[in-house]
Amino acid sequence: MTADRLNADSKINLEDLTMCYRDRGRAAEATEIMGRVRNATNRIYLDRLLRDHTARPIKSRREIRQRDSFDFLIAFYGILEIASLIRYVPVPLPSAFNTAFLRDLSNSSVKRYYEKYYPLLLPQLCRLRLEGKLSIGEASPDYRVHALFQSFLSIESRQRIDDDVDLFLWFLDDGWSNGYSLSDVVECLLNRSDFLKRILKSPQKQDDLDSAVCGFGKLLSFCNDFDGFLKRCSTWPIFQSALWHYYAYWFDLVGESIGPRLRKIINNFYSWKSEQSSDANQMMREYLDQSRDSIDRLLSGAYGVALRDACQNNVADRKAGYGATQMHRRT
Amino acid sequence: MLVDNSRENYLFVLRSPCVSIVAMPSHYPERVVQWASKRSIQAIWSRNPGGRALLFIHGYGGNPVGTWADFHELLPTEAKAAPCDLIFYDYDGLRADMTASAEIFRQFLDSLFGHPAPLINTSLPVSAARPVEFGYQEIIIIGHSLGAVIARLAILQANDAGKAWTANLKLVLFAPAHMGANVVALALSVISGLPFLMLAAGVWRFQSPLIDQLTRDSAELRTLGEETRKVLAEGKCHCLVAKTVVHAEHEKIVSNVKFCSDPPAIPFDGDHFSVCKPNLGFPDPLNVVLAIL
Repeated sequence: MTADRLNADSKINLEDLTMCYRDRGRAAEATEIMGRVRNATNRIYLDRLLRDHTARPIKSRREIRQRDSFDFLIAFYGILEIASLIRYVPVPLPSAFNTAFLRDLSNSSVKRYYEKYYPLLLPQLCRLRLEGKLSIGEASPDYRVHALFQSFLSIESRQRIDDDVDLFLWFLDDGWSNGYSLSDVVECLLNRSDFLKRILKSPQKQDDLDSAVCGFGKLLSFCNDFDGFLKRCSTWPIFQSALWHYYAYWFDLVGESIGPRLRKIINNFYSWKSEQSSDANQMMREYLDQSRDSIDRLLSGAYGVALRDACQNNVADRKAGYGATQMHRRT
Repeated sequence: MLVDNSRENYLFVLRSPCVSIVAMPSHYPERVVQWASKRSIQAIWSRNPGGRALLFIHGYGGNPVGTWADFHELLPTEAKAAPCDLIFYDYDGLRADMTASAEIFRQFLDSLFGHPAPLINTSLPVSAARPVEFGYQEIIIIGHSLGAVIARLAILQANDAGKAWTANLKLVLFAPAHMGANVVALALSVISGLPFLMLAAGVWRFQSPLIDQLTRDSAELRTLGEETRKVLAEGKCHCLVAKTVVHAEHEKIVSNVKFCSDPPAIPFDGDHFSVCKPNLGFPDPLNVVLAIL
């Protein structure tokens, strides 16, 4: 494979990621808003839209939708940073891309959103990389790590479209919907018959509790799969760590506020034992044990260390302007 | 670094004799592609397409990619599969009527054998777009469980409609449900996301036409057998004879009785679900598909 072909492929990868995760899909509206943000009226609107929700709650449907879109836009920059770490895309980026991306990430409202209100490490690193202030990467990326990155994109594209998981996380985060809250999910999981009745309802008859109950099962499944996937990436520790950081905000939130409750919900399943065959009990025990181990690993933060260390070393080496960007423990 | 099970290194060592060392994977990442209103597929497009597609169709309550894991990771490491597009077809395999699902699948096949470039290009960057004249010379349908029945019904419909492209199809079937299946318990594990519910007894009546349609000797399956025999007796539509049929040694969901003129099945160690999931310790499903290429 020639260097020219390699460059051409990595440029196509960049165009492909930009198309899939920035210019189309759920980030498209935010990208379009950023394109209009140069005049003063739009800047004020953006500042208000990307506020801290604890200061003033987000209630309007339009704001919820647009903030969601910004979450996906910022997620794109997380993906781009991971792609840069393994040179799946050109490093440095072609100047036209660099300029456009830096404009998004340097916007004061957007920056405050991903640095202060909802801190995420990967977009911060991406901005530093675009500014030429960061140059970390895996020492020897090759097609194997590129293939793993593509597998990660598969997991991500499936994960981001599940409404049941969204609703369960909302309940876990003390949210409620149509009169239901987390305690209703917990109660439902204590009773095998109730649980089965709920999950067997047709979609037309499902209410929010039914959906959240299904979301719980899917969440366990995701944690198992993602933890297993991270283990497979262990040959590339910075890459492995960056993948964890992609979901770190979520894991951190779960760990800090709801981890014990999540474990309690898992434990509730053991009350089903008397109603099932011994084969089902054994399968259930194995699955739940594995789920608990995976959740413990994901919430421990251990996966996140390698990237943080690499950043700090890189910044120390460069001794340049990194102090302005906080390295949040959360992330 | 956390836990090194070196799977990727193992993969590299195992497959290195047949993998040319390339810096980029042979395929683009998986993506959702909408092919009609409210209908989508998961596609892994080849970077150097050769006019051949592997079209996976899942079974009852299955998932377009999850049913076939890790085909989506292993195939792109195989030189033989490098020029093949990998398409994971999605449909409502839980509640939809079987005949209607087959009609929709037939429409999809029609669009693939027609002019697929516009469809593919909606999901690729301009610099990687396929030429408008791009077309498929061969599509290999790989069906699991109910997916095998849907595929056969769609081919019969295409034959009735005089579609010439049936000559360019091949069938590879894993644990096919064309001789009947008991799928009630599967619904529980699929909907809840909890695999152990697969063992829950079927006292819970899940509302789905498929439960009756897939019962052994159902009117739908009888008709499928009769129609297939008739078409084959007329010397038409040879693709209805599967190239390969794989049965699970520990099958508890579908009947393993031979269907029409299919070749003798290859028995694999495993159950209804694992039989179509290749991994490094169990490459047999992968090898079956590669053997067709």
